[in-house]
Order: sequence, then structure tokens, then C-alpha cells
Amino acid sequence: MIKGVYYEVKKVLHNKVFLGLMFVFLCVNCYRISQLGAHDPAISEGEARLYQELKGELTDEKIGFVVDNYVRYKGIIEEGTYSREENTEDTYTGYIHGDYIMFLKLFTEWKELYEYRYYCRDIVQRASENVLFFEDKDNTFDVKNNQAIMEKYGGRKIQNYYHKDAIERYLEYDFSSVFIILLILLISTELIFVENKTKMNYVIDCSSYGRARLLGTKLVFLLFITTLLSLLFYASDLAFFHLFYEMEGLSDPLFSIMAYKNTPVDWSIIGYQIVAVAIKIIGFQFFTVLTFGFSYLFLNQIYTVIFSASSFVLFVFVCENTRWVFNPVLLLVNHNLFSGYHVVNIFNQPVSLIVVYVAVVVLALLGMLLFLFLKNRRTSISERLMKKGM
Amino acid sequence: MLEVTNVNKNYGKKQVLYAINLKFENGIYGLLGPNGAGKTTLIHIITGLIPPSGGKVTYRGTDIRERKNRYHDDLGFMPQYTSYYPNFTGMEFLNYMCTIKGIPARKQKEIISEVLRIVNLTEHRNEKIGHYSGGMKQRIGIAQAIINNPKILILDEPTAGLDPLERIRFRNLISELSKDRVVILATHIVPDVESIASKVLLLHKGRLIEGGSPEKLMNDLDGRVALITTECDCKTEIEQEYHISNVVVNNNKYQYRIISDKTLPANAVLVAPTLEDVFLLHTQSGEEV
Repeated sequence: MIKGVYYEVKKVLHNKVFLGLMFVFLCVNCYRISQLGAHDPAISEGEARLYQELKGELTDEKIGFVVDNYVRYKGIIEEGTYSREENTEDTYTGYIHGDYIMFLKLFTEWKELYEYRYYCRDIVQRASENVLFFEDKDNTFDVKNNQAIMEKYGGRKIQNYYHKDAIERYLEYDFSSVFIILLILLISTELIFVENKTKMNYVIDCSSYGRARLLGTKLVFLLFITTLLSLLFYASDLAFFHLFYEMEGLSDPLFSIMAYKNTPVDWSIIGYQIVAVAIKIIGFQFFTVLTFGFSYLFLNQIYTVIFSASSFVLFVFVCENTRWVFNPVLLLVNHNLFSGYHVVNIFNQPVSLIVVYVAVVVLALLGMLLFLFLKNRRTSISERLMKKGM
Repeated sequence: MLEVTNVNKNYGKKQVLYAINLKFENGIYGLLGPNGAGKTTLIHIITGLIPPSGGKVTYRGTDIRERKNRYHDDLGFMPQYTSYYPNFTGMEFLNYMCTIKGIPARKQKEIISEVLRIVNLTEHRNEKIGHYSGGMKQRIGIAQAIINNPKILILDEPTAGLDPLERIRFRNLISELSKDRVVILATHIVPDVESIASKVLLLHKGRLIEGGSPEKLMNDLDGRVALITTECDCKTEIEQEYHISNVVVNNNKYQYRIISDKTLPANAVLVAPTLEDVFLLHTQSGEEV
């Protein structure tokens, strides 16, 4: 099988169009990321210096420093008698008012980070009250749901401080998914039509292993190349974001980003991104097999492209406008799924909606694979091509 | 060994093969017929690529569609108009063919070397197939067909597009390969089978209209093929009476090679029939056996 996959690679990856497009897409992706402006707004040298001093673990000393300076500058500003002249020796920003704004921002931000533990404590408190309430009502599902909430949100605190705007933009960046879909479309259609173009389908269908294993080999190759393309583009996303915006704090928990404060997972940011990419890959695999299925059914590249692209657009529309449980596009833009706690009741168990979405798509994927294999057993590709006069 | 029993094939309302009955033993079988006769359809049924609409094909007594994989172990097929994979080298392509034909990895190198030697492509094994000449591509096609040492070798229009010298080389190669196996050569080029086939099968409009050794088929036309020379272009008049297989114009004289079922004209000079005469007679008249 591995050798078979190697030959499938060789059949299509010599295609200069594919390789050229991949290179172009990587360059366009790099340019797009560079234009996002995800770095911090223009900060002075002094602010940058202060950030270097304060970043990292939120120690009592640092907290005291920020609070003291905030209170001090607040008092100065309220008095109104401060100098408005530039003073680079005694200030960070060069101006007293500038320093006040800087420490105000820091104080606000740090307050939110520090008080996150109380935010979670309140959630846990409410959940524990809910447990007692629902126990009285014999409501098993809500008891378990609230117990799960207590477990997930209990004991949380944010211990480090880093600029995470770039990380947030990185986690929400999905533009490279478009390139992956386009490349998958190209290679999926090429993979089945390469045999037709060369008439090799007649030779393969007359060989012992060819007919039985070719479909499986091609699918394994497609699943492999989908994974590879996804990893390539998502690795390039990470690399380009880090190159342009220097992301720090990737080992911090996901909930340390305020947009994800309600996330039910306590993974690190990079750990979450690995899982998110894995889920995206499942979504891509669905589209890969769907496109391959259209190729196999229609035996016509144009119809395949039209139906595959239309399916993708349809799913995007469904994703935007409904909460339909079967939607592979949701797996491709899954950061929303992790930003809050969403569960469904399955046999009185709280099951994460993410798990449900992934499971449904995986089942649909397996269903398509089974259909393709069963259809191929009955009628070979050659037979169908000959019926079509090809 | 290989038997075709009452095979019919139709696509919707269009029937393309009618009640074909054939038996193949070791030797070369030339499947002759004009374009559209049904040769390729019959070949595809024999190879198992498509099912017959009626009848069956059996190999060693068992329907090939029942024991498909084992039949394909003994089958080598070279389809027409195959371009193979242009970016594969000859060697890589044969490695690939070994893989899909289930040849164990430990034997592949030796087998490929031998096959390349047989088809005289050893020097070109590391060149890409896309750079091969027409003759070389046909030879790599033969190579992939024989790589599993098949008992049944089927070649569909193997000499199409080849120059005369390549065609001669090809015929010699086929002759060498025909020992201890069934070779079915489907072609519309009569000279390809005339000198090497042990049996010729004539297919026309989906029907098997004649079958036999080339000698027998030509002997059946003894006394019926002649040359007529005229001073004028009388093709139209001659065509009304006889089948014309060739016209030569030389020094304002017209020489017609005719095939006749009737009494020959007085000025006709008898010549030895060729297989091409047999082919033309049956395909133009549409006779059935």
C-alpha cells in the first residue's frame, strides 16, 4: 500500500500547475498575514522597554508596581498640574499623560487577568447551586452538566502576562483554508482523471491487485496529501505570524486570551491549536472524499469541479445561517466552537457540541468511503468509462 | 484454454456483437476487422473489463467473472492508445506494474531486467516515457503486458502509428512471445497478422464472418483473384461486377486487382490471393459464416 501511495504521488505531483499554485498560495498567504496588522499599535521605545520588564509571570512585585504607578499617575492627572513638556528621562512614553494612559491600559488588562479567578469561582459557585437544585428535581442531565462545569472551571487562574493580540488573530485566521480547499479540488480531480487521460485504467483494471486496491490506494493518498497540505499551510501560518508579530505566551492556557475566557478546555494555546488543526483536517478530509466521490461518479472534471465547489458554498451558507448539526465547514472554522461551553443531551449525558459535530462528519465520511468501495466492487471505472464512450 | 461462448453485446438498443463463439489454445490469433467492427469491444469482454450482454467467457472451464483475480494473474493486456505515465521512467513504470500485478518485491528487479531486454529497452530504462518514440512506447506497452509472464496475451492495435521497420520488429517480437501462450492480436492492419498468426478471425459489423489459418483463407480464394489492365479509368464499371482491392496507374494504364465470385473476364491474369484480399472480400460483401 505504501509503495502504491508513492506511485500515486508520482502520478500527480509532477504536475507543475499544482506545485506552482502551491508556491503562489504560500506567498499570497504570507503577504496576507503580513498585512493583517496584528502587531501592537505603534508603541514607544519606553513602552516596549516596560513590556519587556513586565511580561511573563504575574508576580506580586509586578502587580504592585503597575498598581502603584497607575494610582500615582491617576492622581497626577486628576490634579491637572502636571507638565505637558516632553520628558524622556522620568517617563516611559516621553509624556506624563502618555504614561498615565499606558498604566491605565495595563491596570485594566491586569485587573481582568487577575480577577479571572473570581470570575471562574462565581461560575463554579452558581454551578454548585444548580447541582443542588437539579438534584431536587431529579434532573440527571443538568446535574451532570453542572458538575462538569464545576470540574472544568474550578481552580482556574491566569498566571502570565503577554501581548496576545497577535495570538488571537492567529487563532482566528482561516484564510489559508481557502487555498487548501482549492488545492484539494485540483488534486482530487487530477487523481482519478490521470488514469482516464492515459488510458491506464484499462491496464489497471486487468491486473490482479489493480482494480481491487487502486481505489483504496488513491483514497489513502488523498487523505495523506490533504493532511500534508493542511499541516504545511498551518505550519506556515504559525511561522509567518511569529515572523511578523512575534507571538509570545503560546504555552499559556487558552483561557488566558479573554475572547476564550469561557472555553471549556484547559489546554495550552499551542495544544488547543494542534487539536483545532486536527479537527480542521477532518473537515478537509470530508471535502476531499466528497470531491473524489464526485470525480468517481461523474467521470467528468467539469461536473466534478462544479458540484464540489457548489457543495462547499452550500455548506458555508448553512454554517452562516443555521445550526445544522451536519456541517463540515464548521470544523474548518472551529474556533467559535471552543470559545464557549456548548453541550447537548445524549442519553442524559452532557456531550460537547464539538464532539457531536466531529462525530457526525466522521460518520458521513465513513459512509461515503463505504459507498465508493461498494460501488467499485460492482462496476469498475473502466466499465463506466466505456459506457460513457470514453 | 480460453473460450468465448455465444457472446453478445449491446449498448442500449445498439447491438455491437452477435453470438461470438471462439476457442483459443496456444498460438497467435489475429483478430482482423475494419474500424468499428467490434474488435475492441470483444477484447474488452475477453479481458473482463466489461460484461457481455449475453453468453460468457471461460478460462479453464470457469467463467472469468467468477474467478476474476486468478484469471488476471494469467492475463497480459496492452490496450490501444495508451500513453502510460509520461513522467515515469521506463524502469519506474515497470516497477509500478509489478506492484499492481502482485509480483513479489524480491523478484521485481530480475523480471524487469529480463523484460526490458526482451523488448530492447534496457538502454532507455531511465528515460521518461514521455520522451519515448512511438515504437518505444509500444514496446513498453508490451513489456508491461508480459511482465507477469501471462498465459494469455492480448494486444489491441499494437502497431498503430508505427513505421514499417518498427512493425516488422514488433511482429518478430510477438512471434517470439507466442510460444506456450495464447496471443490475441486485434488489428485492422492485415500484414501484421499475415505472416505470424496461426489463425485469423475476421470480424465485421459485430459478427465473426470467417476464421481459419491464413493459408486456408487464402486458398479459399484461389482462382478468384486477378489483375485487369485497361487503357482507361474503368473503376466504376469494374466495381459493379467485382471487388477491387488495389488500383495502380502506370504510364496511362490502369491495373485493377479484383476479387471475384463470378467468371473472370478474358483479359484477367490470375494472381495468388493475399490475406488482404480475404479481408476486403468479406468486409465489403458483409458475408456471415
